[in-house]
Amino acid sequence: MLTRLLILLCAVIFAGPINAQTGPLRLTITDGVIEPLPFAAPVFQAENSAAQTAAADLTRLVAQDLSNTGLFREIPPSAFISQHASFGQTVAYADWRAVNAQALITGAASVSGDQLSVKFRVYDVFSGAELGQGLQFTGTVSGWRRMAHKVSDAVYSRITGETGYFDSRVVFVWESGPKDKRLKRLAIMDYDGANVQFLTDSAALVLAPRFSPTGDRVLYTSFESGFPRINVLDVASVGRRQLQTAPGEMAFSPRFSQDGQQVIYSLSNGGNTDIYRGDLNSGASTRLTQAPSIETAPSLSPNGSQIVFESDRSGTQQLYIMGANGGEARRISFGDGRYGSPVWSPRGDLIAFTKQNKGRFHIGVMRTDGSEERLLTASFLDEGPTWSPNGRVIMFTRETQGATGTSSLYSVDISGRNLRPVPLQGGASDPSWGPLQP
Amino acid sequence: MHMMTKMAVVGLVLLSAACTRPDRFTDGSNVGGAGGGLDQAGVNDPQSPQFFTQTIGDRVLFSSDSSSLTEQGKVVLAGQAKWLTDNADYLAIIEGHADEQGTREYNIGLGFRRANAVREFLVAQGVPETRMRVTSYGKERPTQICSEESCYAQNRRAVTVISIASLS
Amino acid sequence: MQSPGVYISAIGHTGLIGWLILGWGLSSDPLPFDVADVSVVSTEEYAALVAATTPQPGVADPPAPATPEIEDAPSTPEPESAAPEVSQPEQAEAPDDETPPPEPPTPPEPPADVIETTPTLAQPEAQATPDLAVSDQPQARPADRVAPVPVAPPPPEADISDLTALAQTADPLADVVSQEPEQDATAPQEAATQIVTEADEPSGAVTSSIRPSARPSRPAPQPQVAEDTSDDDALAAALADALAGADSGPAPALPAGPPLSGSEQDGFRVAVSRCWNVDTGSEAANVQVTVAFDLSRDGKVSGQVRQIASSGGSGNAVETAFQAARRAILRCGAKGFDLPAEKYDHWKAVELTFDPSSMRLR
Repeated sequence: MLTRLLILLCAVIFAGPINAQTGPLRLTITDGVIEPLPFAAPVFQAENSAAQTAAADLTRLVAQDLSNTGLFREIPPSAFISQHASFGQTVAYADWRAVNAQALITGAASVSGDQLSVKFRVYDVFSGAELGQGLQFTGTVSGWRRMAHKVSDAVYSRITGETGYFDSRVVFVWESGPKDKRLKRLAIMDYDGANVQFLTDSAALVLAPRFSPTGDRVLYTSFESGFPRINVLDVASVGRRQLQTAPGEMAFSPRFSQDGQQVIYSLSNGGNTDIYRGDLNSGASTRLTQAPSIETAPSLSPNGSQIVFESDRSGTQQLYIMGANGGEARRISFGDGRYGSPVWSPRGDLIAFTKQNKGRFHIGVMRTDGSEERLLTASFLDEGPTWSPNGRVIMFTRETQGATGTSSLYSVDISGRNLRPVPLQGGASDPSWGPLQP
Repeated sequence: MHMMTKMAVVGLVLLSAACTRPDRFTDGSNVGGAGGGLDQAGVNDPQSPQFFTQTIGDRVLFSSDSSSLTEQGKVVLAGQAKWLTDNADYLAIIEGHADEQGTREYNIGLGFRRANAVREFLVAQGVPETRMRVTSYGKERPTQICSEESCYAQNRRAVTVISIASLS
Repeated sequence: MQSPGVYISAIGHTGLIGWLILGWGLSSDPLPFDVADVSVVSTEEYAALVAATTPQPGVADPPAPATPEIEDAPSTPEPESAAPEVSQPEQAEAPDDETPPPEPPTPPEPPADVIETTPTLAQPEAQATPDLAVSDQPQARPADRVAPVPVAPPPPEADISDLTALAQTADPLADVVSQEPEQDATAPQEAATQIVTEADEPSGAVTSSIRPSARPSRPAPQPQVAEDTSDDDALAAALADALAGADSGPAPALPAGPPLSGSEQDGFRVAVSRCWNVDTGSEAANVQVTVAFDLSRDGKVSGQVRQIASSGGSGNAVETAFQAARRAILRCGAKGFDLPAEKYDHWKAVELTFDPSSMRLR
């Protein structure tokens, strides 16, 4: 750069005053469009005949994963000029530009025995360049959905620059039966509602499961004894144990700490509810709040230094933040209505919450100082937000009104767009979104 | 004075709690306080659980987001206290409930508040602390299923569920 | 505030809890948990791969120029090279073996019924979110697309296109593309002027939400970012300007006549805006990026679009913001920007700053 300056100086000195070049045209663009990015995903090439079905299924699921984010829009294959038959072949960018594809995903699958391999590439069509390099996954044929999700995660990450959330699971409460005799049991599913499996039976009322940071365990509240108690359940073995509390004390609303070794939770005694922190290994517990009001629904910040919780110490439910070891709490919610069930986003910059105002429920987000509050949903009863592992999507419970009211899971982008139900056959509530699987 | 009571109460609870199983109270259907399984006598027998649940009334109602006892509620609870005093073999679990207008966690806390308000009243009426336990179901166990105030009013309740048991 | 009774109670209880838990706590070994890799790419390898293939934020110039290298991509490297150990013994553990169907203590219904939920998969395909449709906003219309200028829904048979009338000017193949070949003109995709969430109330009744309903006014700060950079061109240009100014007063003989008029600049701005897709929920929406590029006389981009400055956001977010900006320029400039030919010297070099700050709260 110095050289260039020198040259420039010399030029100026020796050439004397010359015609000044007009500077570049400088403009600022402040308005853009917000629209799904169109992508094309021609059917993955089947490298052998056994892979025919898998290739088609994989392509469908990848396209569906991406489309469901609301950030991408699939261009129907019927519009394609070229079908990109062979995985290795040169990409005819002009053909894809002509159909307005901005991203192109190509892939190939092969099946050998029960082994399935899938490889794929992602292209930025208008730049005429590949995004990243080709990647290959191998697994079993029956695990094809996870492989498709992994492909989707990689594609998502290459296009958006952020990690995906497709290869993740959600633990939730499966609901059945009428409102006054509702049966609830813990269940786990893929993020998209597939592969539902039960973790408990419906003998006892269970509430609000919470995944551990690594997704190996689940904390939940059980009424097995007739009193709310916290259980911890190992996902793989479905083994569970109860966290002990003194008789007369009822514990609920648990969440893991980031290291998975501690639990923050609510404990009720004598009509008063406060927040505690307990160590899963030593059993030691510390009381973090000391107010005569209801303090509950604690959620740790991703760095573990702060806790956001709800309290009605002001007279109505509001959100507060305190240090991870308790102490002075600062109120952060000041809008109309009541605020509850706050959850700190994995990115750390936002807090999702349930808001109740004028007879309606909302899921919303605000910055951690309470500013920029945005309500994302509105219905008769929305509650219990949980964040996708990348902090981009919120899943929550929506309950319909009336005697036949049922609960189901919904998800919404944090921009407030792309509200959609999670497809499940049956009632569901209290989702907790686990981490991206390894 | 109040403090002393509380300390005594805490001591008693700790002592009694240490030697009673919490789930002993809850065999059968405690949910909704129907008093199922306690049918050894008729509604008119003042010693019968049916008399307690139906004639005296096993529940008191609350207004929205409140745990204050109503005058009507206090009359019911006075009857409950008398019955429990007369029938010393019975233990009671007081269940707090909330209507569906509220978040899950908060409603559990609110249910505890309501149950505790009942317990404190009964204690003040002379029912030994050691014979009572409180729990809360939040909004999980409504008795009425419509989404209107008429149903909500019935669901905002504290139910005294009695069961026979002897103290260790 | 707290009565001693409460404290005593707390202490008593804490002690009791401790005592109760200790016995239980001793038996709590960390739970062993098998995690099976779905991929032959191990986590580390995968991370390494991602790291290796993620464009370095510092590298402003992407390797691929806009057009010339399209036909390039010669004999794409075999993906196997990316993941050499294709067959690993670990594969014995199937991805779903990781979660052996847990034995429900007493499963009333066989889990198998639920595990395969294939039929439901069709559901999420639905483009329109039913709930949005129900909401009753008189003014703001929910649409899949949010653009500065509202666009009415296209006639049902129109082919939705991102670039208005692209089909008209596109090469003959474009007709093949269109699903209704007889339909030449493409309708601009339906768009609302702001994101309409379900929570937005009709008739502008304001909840306590702080979101501004109108977008902030236009006066865009001149990219002081550009000056912060140590970019050669910016500095050199500034220096040249300064020297020229010092030496000979107001720039003497400007090569071309008057600079672009306000409306000409606006036209150019709008032309780029139309293709600038902002993902308002992403971290890239916190990034202001300035890119530079040259235009040929026919208004087409010549050479590369270069990132010369940015502010806000992490490396990945900056890269994503840059890619979105480049995409906007390349897409909307594909047919050449409509700029006055006689003022070519004023627009042959362009620096555009993309500032999404006012978009974030739409």
